[in-house]
Amino acid sequence: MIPAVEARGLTKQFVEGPRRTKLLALDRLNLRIPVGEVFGLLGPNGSGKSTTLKILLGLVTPTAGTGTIFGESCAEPSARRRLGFLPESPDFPAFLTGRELVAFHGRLAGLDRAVLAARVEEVIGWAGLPGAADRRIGTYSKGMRQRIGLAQALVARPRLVLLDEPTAGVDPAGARDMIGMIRRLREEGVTVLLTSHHLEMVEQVCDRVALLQRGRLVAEGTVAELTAGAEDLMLAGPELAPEERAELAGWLGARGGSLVPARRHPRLEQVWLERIKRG
Amino acid sequence: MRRIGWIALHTIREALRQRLLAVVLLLGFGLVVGSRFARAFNFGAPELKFTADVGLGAIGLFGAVLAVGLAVQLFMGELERGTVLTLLARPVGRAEFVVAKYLGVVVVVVGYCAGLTALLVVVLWARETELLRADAGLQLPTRIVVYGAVLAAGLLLACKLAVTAAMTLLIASYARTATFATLMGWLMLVICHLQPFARAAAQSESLWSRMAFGAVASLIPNFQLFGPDQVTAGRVGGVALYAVGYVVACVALATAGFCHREL
Repeated sequence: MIPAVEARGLTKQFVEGPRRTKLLALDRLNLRIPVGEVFGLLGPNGSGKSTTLKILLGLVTPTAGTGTIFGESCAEPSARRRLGFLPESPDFPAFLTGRELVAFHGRLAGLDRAVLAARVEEVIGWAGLPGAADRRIGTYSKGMRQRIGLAQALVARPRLVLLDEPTAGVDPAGARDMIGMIRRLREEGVTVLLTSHHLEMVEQVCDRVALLQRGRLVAEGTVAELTAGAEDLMLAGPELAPEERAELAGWLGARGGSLVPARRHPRLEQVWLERIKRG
Repeated sequence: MRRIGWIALHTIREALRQRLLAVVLLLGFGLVVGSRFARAFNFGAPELKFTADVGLGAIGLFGAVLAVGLAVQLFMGELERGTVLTLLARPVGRAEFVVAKYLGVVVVVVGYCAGLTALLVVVLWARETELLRADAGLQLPTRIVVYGAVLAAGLLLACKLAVTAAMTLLIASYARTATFATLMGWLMLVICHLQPFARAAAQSESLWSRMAFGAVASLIPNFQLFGPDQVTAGRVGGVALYAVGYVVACVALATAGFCHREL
C-alpha cells in the first residue's frame, strides 16, 4: 500500500552567510508513515523537524533524497491537493475575518462553490470558533489564531495534515482541545504528521514517533516501544545513602514491613532526554 | 488560472487596506485638483498646459511611490509574516503566486493612475470651460485641450508604473528584507530615468565604458520613453508594447528567482 508520507535519504544542507557556512539540517532521513497514522516528529530545536515538514510541503528543496506524499513527489504542487498545513504560531492577514480566511483557502484548494460554504461552517464549528468567525483575525488571541489555522488546514478534507508545533503558545484548555481534534482526525482516517515539544500530548495522540537530533533519526517506534526496557529502579522519596537505606529497611522490617523498590514506566520525556544526551 | 485570480483578488483587497494607498491617493488627488490653483508658478507657460503637466507629474510621482511600496509590502509582507507558507501549502505553484501578486499590485496601481487621469481631465475641462466662457466674445476654437492626448499620457504613465512594479517585484523575489527591496526599487527607478545617459556613455572611446554602459543601457528600460512627448510623436502603441516586454521579462525572472528560494 502506498504510504501517506515517505522520505528516502532526505538530506538538506543550508549554505549561509558571506563565508558560505554549511549547515546540515537533515541527514539521510528515512521515514515511512502509513495512511491513517498519527506520527510525531520529535527533537530539540534545530534538529530538522520543521525542515522535514517544509521539504514535504515543497517549500524547501532537499540537497539529496526524495520525499513523496501518497506516492507523488512532494515538489509537485498537485501533491498538495489533499494536504492541510498548520504552521508554528500561524499568522494570517489581519484584515480578513476567520470565515473569509477559511473560504479563501477552500477556494485555493479547489473546493466547489456548492460545497464551500457548508464546509467552511463545518470546520469553523469543529475548531470551536462559530461565534468569532465574522471577526477580523487581527482581533484574535493566539489560541484563536491556532484554531482558525487548523480550520483552514482542514477545509479541503485533507487526507494528510501536517501540524508544526500545534500546541505552541496555547493554554492548557486549548492544548486539550487540540488533542481532541487530532484524535478525531485519526478516527476519520486522516494521516497526521506533527512536530511538538509537548511530549505529554505526543504520548496521548501519536501511534508512532521518530526522534531527530542534528538532522539524524536517532529513534523510531511506538511510544510503548521507545519507552520499553528503559524502566528505572527508583526509590520514591528523598535520595538516601546506602547505609541510610539499610537502616530504613531494618526499621521497616522490625515493624513487619519491607522496602519495595518502586518501578515506574518512564515517560517519553525521559527517553527523549536520554537519547538526546546519548546522541 | 482560478487560483491566480483568487490570490490576485486577495492581494487587491489587502492593497485597498494599506495606509500607503490612502496617503498617496490623498496627495495625488490634492495635487491634481490643486494644480489649477498653482498657475501663479507657471513661469509663463500656458495655463492649461501647466495644469496638465503638474497633474501628470503628481500622478507619476505618487504612482511610483505606490508601485514600489505596494510591490514590496504585498510580496515581502507575505514572506515576512509567514502567510506564504499556508498559501504555498495549497496546490499553488510559485509561478502562480508571483503572477497573482503582480496582477494584484498592477490592478491597484493602474486603477490609481486611471482614476487620477480621469480627475485631471475633469479639472482641465472645468478650467477650459471657465476660460472659454470668459472669452466668449473672442473667436476661439470649441476646445483647446486635446483630451485624447491627456488620456494617452495617462496610459503611458500607467505603463511606466507597471514596469516599475514588475522591476520591484523582481528585486523583492531575491531580496531578504523589505527595506533593501524598497531602496533598490527606488534606485532602479532613478537609473531607468537616466538610461539615455548610459546609452550616450556607451558611445565613448574607452572599451570598458562602452561595455559597461552598453550592458546597462541594453538591460534596463528607458523611462524617458514614457513621457508625454511620445504622445505627440504618435508612439504610444510602440511604447506600450515596449513596457509589456519589460513586464513579461521581469515577472519571468521574478518567478525563476522565487522558484529557487527556500522559504
